[in-house]
Amino acid sequence: MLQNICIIDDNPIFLLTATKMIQLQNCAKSICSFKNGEIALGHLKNEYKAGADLPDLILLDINMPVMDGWQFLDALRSLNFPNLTIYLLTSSVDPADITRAKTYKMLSGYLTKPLTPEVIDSLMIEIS
Amino acid sequence: MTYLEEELSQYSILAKVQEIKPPSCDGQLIWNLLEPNDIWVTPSFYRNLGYTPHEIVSEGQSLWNKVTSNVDRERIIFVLRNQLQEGYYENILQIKDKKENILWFKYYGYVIFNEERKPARFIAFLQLEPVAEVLGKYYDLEKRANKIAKIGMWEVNMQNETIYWDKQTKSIFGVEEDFICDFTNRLDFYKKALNYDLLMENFQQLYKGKDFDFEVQMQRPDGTLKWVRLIGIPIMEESSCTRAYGIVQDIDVVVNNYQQLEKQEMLYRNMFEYAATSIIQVDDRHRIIKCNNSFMNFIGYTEEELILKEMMAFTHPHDKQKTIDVVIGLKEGRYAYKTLEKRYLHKNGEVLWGLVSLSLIKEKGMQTVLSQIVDITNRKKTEMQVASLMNVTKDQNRRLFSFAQIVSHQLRSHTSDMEMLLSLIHMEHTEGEKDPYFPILSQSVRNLSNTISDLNEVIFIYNQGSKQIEKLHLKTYLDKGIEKIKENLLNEEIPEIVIDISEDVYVNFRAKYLDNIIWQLLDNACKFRSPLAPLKITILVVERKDFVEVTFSDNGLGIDMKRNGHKLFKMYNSFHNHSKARGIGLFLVKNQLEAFGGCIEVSSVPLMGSSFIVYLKK
Repeated sequence: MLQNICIIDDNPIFLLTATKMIQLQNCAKSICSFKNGEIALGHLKNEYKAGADLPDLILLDINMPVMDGWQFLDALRSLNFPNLTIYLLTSSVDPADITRAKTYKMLSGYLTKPLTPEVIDSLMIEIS
Repeated sequence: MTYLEEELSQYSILAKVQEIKPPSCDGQLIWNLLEPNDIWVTPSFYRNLGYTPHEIVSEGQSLWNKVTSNVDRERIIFVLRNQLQEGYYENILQIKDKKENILWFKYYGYVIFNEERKPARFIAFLQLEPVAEVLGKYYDLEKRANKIAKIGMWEVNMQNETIYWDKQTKSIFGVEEDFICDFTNRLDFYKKALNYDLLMENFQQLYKGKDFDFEVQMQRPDGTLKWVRLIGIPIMEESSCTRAYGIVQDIDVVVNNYQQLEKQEMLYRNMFEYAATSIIQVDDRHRIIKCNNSFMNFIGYTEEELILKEMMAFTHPHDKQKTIDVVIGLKEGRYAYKTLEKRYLHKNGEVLWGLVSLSLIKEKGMQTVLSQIVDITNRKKTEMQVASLMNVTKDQNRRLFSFAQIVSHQLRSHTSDMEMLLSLIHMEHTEGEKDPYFPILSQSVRNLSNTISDLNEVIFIYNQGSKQIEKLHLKTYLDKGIEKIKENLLNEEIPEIVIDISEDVYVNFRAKYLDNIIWQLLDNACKFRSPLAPLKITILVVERKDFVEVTFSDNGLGIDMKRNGHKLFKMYNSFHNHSKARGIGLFLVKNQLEAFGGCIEVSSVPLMGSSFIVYLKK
């Protein structure tokens, strides 16, 4: 079981359903969620400064207001963070997005919505 | 003083000679008709021909033989010796000056008889004959035709009805050298002439003392026709014509050349005047000096309104510089001709488009520009309309595409939410799961999700550049497709699949789509097999010039083409009452092919089978 999973998505319904589904699958002790990249980044920086544990897994949406998934990744790259496990989790099946994702070495994978119990299970196996 | 000069001063006839002496003449001569080499000519005559006094003295009498031709001298002596009585005689002869230019001289004077009543002396005056100027023009033309002038002399004596022809005349008329022209039959040569009557009239005029100068086509004894020019000069004595002399010139080549030139000139004039293309000639000050009917129709002005007007006045302001640049280039010899598209202004203000071919003409030291203009106004208008339509279409396509993308993306986001919510209801066994409508709602959400997924698929087919094209070995893909379909048929009878393809067939396409097309067509054949006979599929590959033609034939249920042909390749159109038919497969196949320049055709007979022909780019 993971300590902490972080979900970054602007869609409140998705945040609700995803959190619930991960809880039901019983695969993380805590789940935190942020409605855009900027808020998530601020939180991560604070946690890191405070010496708290960083999330074991980040599920990141692409299309978000204020700071989208790509901008979040770019900002993260410029900071000196220890390695994080980040998966894109998006409703986009656009090959352009898939191709772009391959250019980020810091990404561990590309997942498309909906998030199902099967996807969560195989993700857990992959991480462990 | 020579003896001939002395003789001259002694003759009593001298007074008469002085009578006919013109106010001015170019020379005077005394000729011993008994000794033709014995002749005296005024030295001033030779001087005018360009000889120095020293040459005149040293050459003496032989100078005459130098400036005249043997033929002429023999002719004159022959005619004069045969004179029946003392009296007046005139004729013309050619004399060469020192620079070898041929001049024509009229000589006229008296034939004097000796005691034996024989012609012994000829005392005459020489005068430059203006007729030679007329002949000069012919010389020029003949020189151009690379022919030597052929001029003969003739003389007709009306009193004793004799005719004299010189050698050259006989040669022109195509008769033997000893031929003597008969007075009564002298006009037989001209019987075939179109202007025979006019010629006769001219001959009659001779008797009234009028010269003639006439071109006529005569027939030689061998039947050939020849154009000749006849010049006749009558000699009048007491108001009646006793003799006439003249020249005959072979102008066959000249006339034929003239006629050909005339024909060509007419042809060119016609071509210019009535050409469908507008043609104008512009001088070095950009003024129109010539224009044809087409141009006048094109531009709407009359000839008077155009001639000597500045060409630029009829040119669209934006195209003036372009035109001037081309003309400069022509004059500098950068190119022999140049084609450009430019705009003209019609009299009614309308802007016209012309495709103009410009070329330079150099004549008489002047450079003019010839413009041939094809009216392309309609084509240009259409082009502009097409371009504007293309822009509208491109714009619409762009908007449609982004609309489709947004819709599919947003919808996809919502359906995934719905799926997850349904999934949670199911996982948490809430009240909702017990609702009888719950399974139906779940199915609806799945259907919606599938539709969106299909839509996305279509959008992406067209959203790929040409760089995605791959060179594919067709046989490998067909073999792979056949293997896959056989593996997929778990509980069904394996069909017989016959494939006819050579090893070296390649197509330019997308691997993923080629797999899909082969799969779809084979899968369709399997799905819609006939219950009456075992399924047989034939795949035939034929290479065409630019395409590879792949035909998939089966003996399955077939399709009623009249009823269903039009919706065969449309989205969500299935027409078999078959649970497996979803109506997306052929739609995708068609789109995948068309996105890469291919296409698909079908022919089918219900209960007999179907044939799908796929065209793939080589």
